[in-house]
Amino acid sequence: MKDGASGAILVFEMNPLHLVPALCIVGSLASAQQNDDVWREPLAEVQRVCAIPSAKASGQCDAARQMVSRAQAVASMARACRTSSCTIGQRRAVVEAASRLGSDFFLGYEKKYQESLGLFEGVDEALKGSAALKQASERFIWRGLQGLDGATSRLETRMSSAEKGLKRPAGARAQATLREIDAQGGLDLKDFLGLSLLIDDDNNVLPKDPRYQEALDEREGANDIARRLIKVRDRLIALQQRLGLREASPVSAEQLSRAETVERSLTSRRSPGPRRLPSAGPGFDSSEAASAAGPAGAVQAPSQSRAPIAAVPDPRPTSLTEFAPAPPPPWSVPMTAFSAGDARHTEDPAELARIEQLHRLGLYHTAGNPQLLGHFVHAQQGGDCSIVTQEEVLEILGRQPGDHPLRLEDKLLGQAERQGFITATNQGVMPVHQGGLLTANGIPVVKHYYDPQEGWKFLNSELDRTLKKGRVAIASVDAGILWNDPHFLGGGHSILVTGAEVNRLTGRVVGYYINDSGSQPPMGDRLVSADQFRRAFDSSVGGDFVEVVK
Amino acid sequence: MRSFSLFAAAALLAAGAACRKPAQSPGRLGSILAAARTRPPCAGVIDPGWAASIPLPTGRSAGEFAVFFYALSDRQSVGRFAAPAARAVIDLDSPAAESCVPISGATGTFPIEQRFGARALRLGAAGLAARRARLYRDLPAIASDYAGGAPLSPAARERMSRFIDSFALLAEPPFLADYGALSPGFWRWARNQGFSAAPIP
Repeated sequence: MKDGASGAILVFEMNPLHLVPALCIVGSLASAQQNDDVWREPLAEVQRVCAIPSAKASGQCDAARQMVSRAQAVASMARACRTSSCTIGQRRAVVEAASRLGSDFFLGYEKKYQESLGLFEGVDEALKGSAALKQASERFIWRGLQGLDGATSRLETRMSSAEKGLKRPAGARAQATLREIDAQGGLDLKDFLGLSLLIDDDNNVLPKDPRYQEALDEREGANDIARRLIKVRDRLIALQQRLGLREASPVSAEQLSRAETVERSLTSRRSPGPRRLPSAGPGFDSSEAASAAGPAGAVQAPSQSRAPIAAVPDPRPTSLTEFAPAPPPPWSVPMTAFSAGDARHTEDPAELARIEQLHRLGLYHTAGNPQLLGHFVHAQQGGDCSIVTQEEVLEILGRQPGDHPLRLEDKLLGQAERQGFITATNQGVMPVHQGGLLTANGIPVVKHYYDPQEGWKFLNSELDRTLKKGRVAIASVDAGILWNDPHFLGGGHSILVTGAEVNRLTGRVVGYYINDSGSQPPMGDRLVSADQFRRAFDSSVGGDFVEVVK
Repeated sequence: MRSFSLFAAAALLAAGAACRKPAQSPGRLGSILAAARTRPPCAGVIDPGWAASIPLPTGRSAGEFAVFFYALSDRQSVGRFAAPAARAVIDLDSPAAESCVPISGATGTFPIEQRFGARALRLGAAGLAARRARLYRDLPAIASDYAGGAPLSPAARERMSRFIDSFALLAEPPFLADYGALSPGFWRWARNQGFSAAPIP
């Protein structure tokens, strides 16, 4: 190609997708003397390339323009946050927008980028501004963590003073002091929840970012603040009870109301729920969708099958004690005394029988309340085990009263999509966002990831410690090992771990209780031997769990 | 009665101690794979429920492996798996993948019964997991042999024989061509060393 004209004629006959590398050559030949400054105006460059008819015919110009516009909008938001102070929520919005843009570009257009350097190089230039934003967000997060650390320390100091100074009977001033601590703690908790989501977004950085260890450190910093805030909450509740401002027992009217809400939720599970069309996405339900669709195989797109999202009040707490754990309900729930689950799923039935015997002899005891929590298990409708485990936690904590589980699953899936928690393949929650729905709905969580430097033993001991405190955890496991089904070996699956069987003499965990939404049949209060569970957990698809700090 | 209970408890405790199997560590390679899945760049590309192929040495360095991922239903009632949909390169020195990209044009799903052959299924889940763990433990040394290029020692040849046998057991029959394409140099090297690279076509 000796001149632009003959080059343009030649490329007309080529496949449009291969056009633009040729156009680059033409363009660069034609603009050999071009001022490099044009690359600082990526939109102008896209306009210039798209003036060429064959580039326009490639159908990528609109996409490139949109990408560049989005990148410039994000850069503008970042500049605004740099020049004036932004709240944690505003910072999160900026980082989220940058993450989405980067993800959309690299996943949707990377191949096209490689084929059409000229057109999308403008986008890449604009994204470099976003990379600078990501670096700036590091400083946001560390400032946020430092700020929360200071705020939590001040709360702890006020709590200590209150514990020393306040005596029964508690006068109006004392009650006002405790209300102030509660309210301030609620604000700090809200800030923490926002920062936690920001950290998850930042942990999901663009490719080639070398900040992985820093991301782990950020999460550990956030975990520490979550633990401290919950400790202050528990101290506040204990002081309120000591001063006669909160009933320890019997169950208060508020607690009874919450228990009734939970009972209604359990009752509604037993009634047939709304018929839900399976997702018609690229998952495995397309065959089910075809048979469920009815005449002419018409299948609703997922967004159409979802119920419209009504405006909901802000689910985040208004005070530190608002999400205090409820006592066991006063009504009796039919309980299975001891569950071995479905026999096919158990590798070693003799081991489970042994555990049961030692429990009856009093040498083992159950940590947590898995028999009750087993009633909250719910069969997942799609490949959304992570959504369903979080749904169960929200129901257990009485945070989603009245909704039928299927409707709630749908609602949470929509929320996860809107929050950017779903993978690009639209089939599951990204590991870094495990527990994100809980955070977004006001429940603080502590996240534990497998770290090669610390090893599996450390992660296992963290999980055991969590369960012995009576807390529940959402864990990632190998489905094939958990189900004792070789067909599913290596498949990642999320389950809710609701309790543990513990040796009273040694404190060792010998069995784990789980709710499993994906097994056939779905199982609540299933006891898994420690051997089988740890092999499922210490696997190449396991290695993380979310501790619900209730 | 009380002494009988104590005796029974002691016997049961002893039985448990004798029968207790240690949890099998997935080894360094399995652990790195676990870490790489949760971190970018893979975290945004692959679904946590997806299964990973057998990692294969790339030959560029002793610790570098190529692996592909494919969707596998996480509901036991829906027994299907899909064609490979993402490819990654991992390194034993890093908890994050060096690259993780979608495979375009991946279509089709298969019944779960086609995932493993009859010989593999006879081992059961625990047996198959144990074979996979052993294969993961052997792979770093095999990668080192491949990258090093030196003639194989008797111990290395035995390890490679074991690998070929484990591979034949664990490789998904519909994906043999994908394994061939994942690291063609590795299969060429294996053939040159005198190992039949079957079942790779």
